[in-house]
Amino acid sequence: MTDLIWRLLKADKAGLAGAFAALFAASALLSACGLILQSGLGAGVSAERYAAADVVVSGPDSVRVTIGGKSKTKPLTEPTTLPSSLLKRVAAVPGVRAAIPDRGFPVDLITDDGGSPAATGHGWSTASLAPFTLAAGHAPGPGEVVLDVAAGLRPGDRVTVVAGTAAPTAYRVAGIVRGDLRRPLALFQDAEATRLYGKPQELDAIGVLARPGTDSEELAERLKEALGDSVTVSTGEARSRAEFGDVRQARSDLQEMAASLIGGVVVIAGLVLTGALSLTAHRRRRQIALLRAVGASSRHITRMIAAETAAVALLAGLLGCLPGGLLAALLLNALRLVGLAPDDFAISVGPIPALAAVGACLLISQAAAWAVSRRVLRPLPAQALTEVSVEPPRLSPARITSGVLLLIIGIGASSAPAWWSSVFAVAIAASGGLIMIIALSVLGPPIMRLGTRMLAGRLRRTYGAAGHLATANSLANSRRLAGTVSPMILAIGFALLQLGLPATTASAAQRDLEAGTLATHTLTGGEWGLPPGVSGDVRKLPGVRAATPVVRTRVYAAISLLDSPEVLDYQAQAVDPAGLSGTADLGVEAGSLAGLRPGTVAISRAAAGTLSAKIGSMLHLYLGDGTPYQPEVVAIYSRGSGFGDLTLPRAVVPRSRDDAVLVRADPSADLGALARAHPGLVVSDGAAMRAAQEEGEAAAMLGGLIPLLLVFGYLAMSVANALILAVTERTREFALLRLAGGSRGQVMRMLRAESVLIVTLAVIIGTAAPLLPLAMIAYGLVGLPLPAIQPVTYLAVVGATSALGVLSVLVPARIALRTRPIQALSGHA
Amino acid sequence: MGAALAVRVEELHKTYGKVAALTGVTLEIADGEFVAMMGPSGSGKSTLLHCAAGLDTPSSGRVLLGGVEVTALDEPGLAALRRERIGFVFQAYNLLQALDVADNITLPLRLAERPVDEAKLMAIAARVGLDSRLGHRPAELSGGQQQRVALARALITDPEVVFADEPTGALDTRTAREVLTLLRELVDEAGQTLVMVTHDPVAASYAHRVVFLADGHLAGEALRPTPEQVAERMTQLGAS
Repeated sequence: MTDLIWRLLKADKAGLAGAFAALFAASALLSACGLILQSGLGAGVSAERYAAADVVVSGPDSVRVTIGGKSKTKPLTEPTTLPSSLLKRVAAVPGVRAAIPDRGFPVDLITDDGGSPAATGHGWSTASLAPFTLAAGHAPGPGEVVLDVAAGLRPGDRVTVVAGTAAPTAYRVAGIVRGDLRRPLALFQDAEATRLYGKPQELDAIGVLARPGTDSEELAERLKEALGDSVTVSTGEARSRAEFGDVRQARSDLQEMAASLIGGVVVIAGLVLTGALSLTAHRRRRQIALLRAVGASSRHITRMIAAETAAVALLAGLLGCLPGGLLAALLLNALRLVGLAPDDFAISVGPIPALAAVGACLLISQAAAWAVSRRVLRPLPAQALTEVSVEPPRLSPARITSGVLLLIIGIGASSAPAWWSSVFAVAIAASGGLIMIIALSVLGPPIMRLGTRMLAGRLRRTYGAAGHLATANSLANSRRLAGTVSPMILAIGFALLQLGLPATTASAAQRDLEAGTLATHTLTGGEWGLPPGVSGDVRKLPGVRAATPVVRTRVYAAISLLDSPEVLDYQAQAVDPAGLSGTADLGVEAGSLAGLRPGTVAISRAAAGTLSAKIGSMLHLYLGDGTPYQPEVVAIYSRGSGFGDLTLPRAVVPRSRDDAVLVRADPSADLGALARAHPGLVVSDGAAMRAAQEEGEAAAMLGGLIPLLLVFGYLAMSVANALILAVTERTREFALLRLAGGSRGQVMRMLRAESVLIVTLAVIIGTAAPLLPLAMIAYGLVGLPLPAIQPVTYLAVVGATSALGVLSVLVPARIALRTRPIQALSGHA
Repeated sequence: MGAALAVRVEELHKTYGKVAALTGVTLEIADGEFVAMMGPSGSGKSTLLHCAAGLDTPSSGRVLLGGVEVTALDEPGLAALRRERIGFVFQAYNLLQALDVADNITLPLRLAERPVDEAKLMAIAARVGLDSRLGHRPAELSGGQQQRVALARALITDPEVVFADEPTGALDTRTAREVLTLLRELVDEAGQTLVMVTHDPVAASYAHRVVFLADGHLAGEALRPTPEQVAERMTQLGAS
């Protein structure tokens, strides 16, 4: 059998080209996502300050919630700390030569031209963990600092430093360390560093130097045993995670993005491949019927389809990995460009993503082959032989039932945000949109017939006889029509859903901010946030009515979902409640923000819905650094999209510097004076605030757009594939038309009419399907069922898909019509 | 004749949706008999052939083939039956274009995972006059030659019955006559049982017996028919 399959396969290369293309692209996408995932799981960048530490002990890197024996962890993206008391226990572990505490704090180096480049401050003793050697000068004494080469200073120079929460202070440059570092560095005398760190009972990490002859992995094991699992013990590449906060965030983002992309690609690849294989099987229905007539059993056919699909999957999978590497590099570059990954974040190379991609292609191919075999084998061989060109008029009852059921589920899910205000409802609505799209393709043929009938009159008027032929073809071959329109519906619907979702949430946020911002100005700083003392000073400024210091952070909420723990992360703001009513109106619906003090929290309506919280409820929260916080809900507000879903009192967030201060000031207030007093301070008025907000949204959209473009490109390929196959299959029909006296021009005219029909149906259905979930999400967020999507974006999606659709019909048709009709008829296999 | 029965069809009914294609057909075909089935378009002759050969399942009634109840077989059983005990020849598009003549002929053996007997292949190819063409692709052969390949393929498994559905329908008169002569020789010399659907009175005249169908039921038969007799019967059936 094997050689037979191989020969049949070779003879139908054209038919399997579609499946090959679908699998090749799936493999490229999957191996690229796999590489990104692997990079996200890996280190990303190498350790610098900890490069010589054999082991690094740092705080917990994730939140872990256990309910009823089941646990759920969520990686933390903000730095965590350890109690200082741990130092002694680490030092006591056998094999430890030295345990060096590391306490990092924000440092702004004030330059003469008014700039304030950000650096991290550490104690001089941590230099031995790198180890850093001095290129010039000596170790720092009191009032002295050691910088790296990038600062451009020399020993003996004087520099103004804003370190931690201390006021600007002049330091003398004691020395310069060698090395090209990813972050500027400022090393202080140890006692000074501990003071500037500001938390005497805590430290960030402990760098461990091992005794000579001690294996660092074994030492790490001993440390884990001695310290328990409330700490993170890292060696080798993993040490950089403890060192760089930006890497931690990027790793978590990359993992999340790659994982969700992989899921999407697998589902879409399955759909696309099933479509491609169905078209191929349709082309080969005679061949299959003949094989069955001469005695091939269902198992033979199933095995044949499975075997040839597996062969194609193997080849396409292996070849697809090659561009996959390139694609991963491109993707990572794009993510660096929009700021989702640090510039020096390295791609992690290895064979596992490629192998996994090939494996996934094989699995997808076998699932699709199975589905297609079932469909191919349904008609009895006699039917397949005699009614070769006439398709069965009705869908099977099972297909109609499942289609209607899917449609009902899709509509129900899409309406979820209307009655449930929650992130889950948004997610359910989004998947409801996809389910509706799938339902519409299951019920495709009758919908296509209905649509064709509705458009028939217009087509006949515009295209005359050609239009008449086009509608007749489409009505008689509604399955083929549905097979070509479905990928377009999927492409348009998927893109609109994916673009409309962030656009709708962003527009809700915009609406919230416009309605809720009472502040006239916003004060912001550099990378480390506001210089210390700003919030105190601004309140003393004449003409300032209210000032609210704000820290933006992430908060994790633990809930029990169907008896299993679930950890949700929320954007949160921590504010000083005094004067909040003068700078922001969160739209409080219940309770009052006046009672916001440590031990309490205010929560958005959406989050309250998700966490089923009411006024007086106790929540199980974890702050950005993993600290448990169990507050009572004192207020529920409506403007969560703009201001964050949770509002905490500023005092509970152990961040030394504020991210921003919202200020409501009279026109007479001289905020410029404040900026002059605090180097690095940026004062924005209303317009600048809006601009900054829009810029942030644009960057977020761009970040989401990159993976979407990949998937959309994949769908576009399947659209072209389906249409090209459907047209080339009709060579014989075109030949008959021409033999009956039709000119080449008339055939093309008929196909133009058909492509207009295809595109119109795809655009109408593809637009209608995501409309309901988006409208419902908008209704849930702002109370108005108006989905937001820029007209330009909409036109780009619809235009690109339509243009591709028309080209994929007309170009292969033109090529098919080059053959003389009589040749086309006799060369039929 | 009067030998053992090759095929027995009992009270066969077949409806497609609301259309009745067969309304109670009972028919016996003896071993070594060459039967032609005729009737106007839509008379049910092709449906009868397909049901008798296990390519289609009747709505009710029984089909016995050499003692085996075809209508009681499941899909794998039917596939095995088609593979091992039945041979088929169709009007056209009979061959896999990807395979050469020899592979097309031995296809049923490969599907049955039976060894290919080269001597037998050569004998059958010689029988149908294609021994010099075994390495050719179907596209390189004439219509008549393609039909001979199909016949050789039908014979390779030594089937109990060969079913032919308009085997000469796509051929010109001269080539058709050659194929029909070959079919009759197979019956006369090798005792092959052959059931053929045709609409051509000349083709039907090569059979031992012609069975006429009209509106899904038997409408008489003719033994040792001449083309003229058959044509006359057909005219009557068409007019009724």
